[in-house]
Amino acid sequence: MTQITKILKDSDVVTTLLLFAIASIIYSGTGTDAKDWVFPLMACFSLFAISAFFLVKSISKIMTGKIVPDLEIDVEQIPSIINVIFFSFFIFIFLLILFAFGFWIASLALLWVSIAYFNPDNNIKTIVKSFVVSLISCLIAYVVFTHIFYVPFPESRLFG
Amino acid sequence: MIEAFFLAISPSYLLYMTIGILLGLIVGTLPGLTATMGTALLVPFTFALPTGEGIAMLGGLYVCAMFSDAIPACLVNTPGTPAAMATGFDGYPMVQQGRGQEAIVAACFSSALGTMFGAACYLLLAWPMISIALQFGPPEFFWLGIFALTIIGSLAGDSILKGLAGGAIGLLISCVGISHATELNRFTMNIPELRGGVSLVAALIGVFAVPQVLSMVLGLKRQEYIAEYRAEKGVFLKTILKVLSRPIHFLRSAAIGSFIGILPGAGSPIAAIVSYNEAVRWSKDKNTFGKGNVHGVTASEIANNAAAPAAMIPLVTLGVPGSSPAAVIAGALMLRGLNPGPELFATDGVLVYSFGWSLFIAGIVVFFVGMLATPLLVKVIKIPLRLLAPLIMFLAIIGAYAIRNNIFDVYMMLAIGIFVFLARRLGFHPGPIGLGFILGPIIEPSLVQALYISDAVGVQKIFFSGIINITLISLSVISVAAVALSRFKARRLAKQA
Repeated sequence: MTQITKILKDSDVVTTLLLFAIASIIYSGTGTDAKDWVFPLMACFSLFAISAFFLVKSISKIMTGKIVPDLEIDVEQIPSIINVIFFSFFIFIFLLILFAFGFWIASLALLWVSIAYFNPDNNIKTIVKSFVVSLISCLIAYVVFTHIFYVPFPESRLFG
Repeated sequence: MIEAFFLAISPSYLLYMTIGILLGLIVGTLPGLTATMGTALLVPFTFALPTGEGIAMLGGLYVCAMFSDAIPACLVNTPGTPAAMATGFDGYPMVQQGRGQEAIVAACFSSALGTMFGAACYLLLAWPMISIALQFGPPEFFWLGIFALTIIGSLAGDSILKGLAGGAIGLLISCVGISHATELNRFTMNIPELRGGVSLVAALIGVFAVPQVLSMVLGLKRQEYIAEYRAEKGVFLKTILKVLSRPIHFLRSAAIGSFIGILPGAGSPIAAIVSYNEAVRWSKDKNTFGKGNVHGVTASEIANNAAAPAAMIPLVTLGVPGSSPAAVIAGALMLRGLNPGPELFATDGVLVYSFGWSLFIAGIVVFFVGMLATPLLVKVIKIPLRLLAPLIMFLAIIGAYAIRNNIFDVYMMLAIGIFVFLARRLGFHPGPIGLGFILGPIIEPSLVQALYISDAVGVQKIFFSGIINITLISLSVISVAAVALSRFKARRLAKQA
């Protein structure tokens, strides 16, 4: 088990699996008409060929015991990874509330929460400052995109 | 031509052109807003103006957007438009090294030079250039795209195979949607929004901006700013002299940009990529490219700006626009009852030449506007990453949405962005993925069209004959061989060391 975990932490092994998976999925979605599929098939076979190269490389690494677990995550990196996960979560929530509450509330919430979250020393002053920065950014984006470039931002479905 | 020049320097021409330039500064800087979108939105406002002033304003916006797209490419590694993708390859490393001011000044000055060169071609060489461009058919475009793909060798980072795989993934993403041959749905998974394909701009924001923002977030504990930055005296002059010190580099980049600009459908992004590739190939210090070589920035910017005025050449000579913004300008002319093409040259030569002069002067104005704005723009580096990361992500989301007013593009941008972010951990460089995505829409239709033609006369005759095909194939082979040789040498030197 430990050996398999170690092997799966080698970037070449993961690259092999990733490229093979992409090429297989693409290949399974192709059809028969030559002119429709010649180009995607060329790209697909290139991926198969490259994944085969990495497969040979990975096997030789396993056989010679030269596996490098370069994808291993250090304990020190975990807080940073949590930051990325939280930020991705904020974006996901933003996309959910964008149509429910419209541009203003969703954008203001995304920016305010993200800026406040990343601030290492939060107090009333920094939270207010984060709000002001978020408000100004939303205002500029709103004026530029909607009034100069006529981009119709999503409106709130709850408030009309 | 003299009469046209005096018309182009009249106060009303200069005023409206400058307004167009200022709008172009915003359009290029904001990811998601393209020069095409900017010119299209500006067309209704130009109706109130005389024709000359109206198209000068549109031309000003177009050429300035081709410069200002370099600003986010350099400062936050997010190209403002696809044409600036290659600018970020060296522009962003320069910023990381604290050379942000130098990167922006180089981009601005080379953009101005490129625009002026392209405009000079428009004024002086329109007819001879167009006669060469007319030799380009589908097989030639196919080989041009393949030649542009060879830049992967310079972008791949440590592993050329991972670079090639990235390029193939980019090409595959570009295949999503209705096929060029029999209008078949490919890889759409029955999602109606995917029938039109993945939006180029949204995908490029995903490839470059999203992984960049997530990396900023990942590095927040270690790094507070993109880079240390202090304004230095004399950078303007030093950078300008550095750009001028390579006249052959300038001429090569400008000639590539102007020539590719006149090829309908190729446009500024391809011009910038091919020019960057050639700059690397002809350079004595190849290894410094991708690590903050100022000539990487200038190669891309000279070419993509030279391509902008040059894209007007087929419009005024043949009535065929060389790029999407040129097509919008053609539309603006047609709405006024003017038919772009040889007829317009004959009936309204002053208008045609005054437009050329406006583009030339726009290059000079872009330089001054850029120089005035540079001290302000580089201050982005001084914004803490904890503020910058959410703001860039916010702009990226709005930009991806704005291009087609479609939230699905935002989902695609995020999906591609997260994929590229994770792929970067495996040693993939985002450049080849973006490159594949840009070149796919050029290579595939050309390949399919050429295959149809080859049904009648044979593959050999279509793909492997003719001076242009042979030249492009030879250049591609030389390019690949040069990369392989330089990597082999570098590896041998590393082993010896």
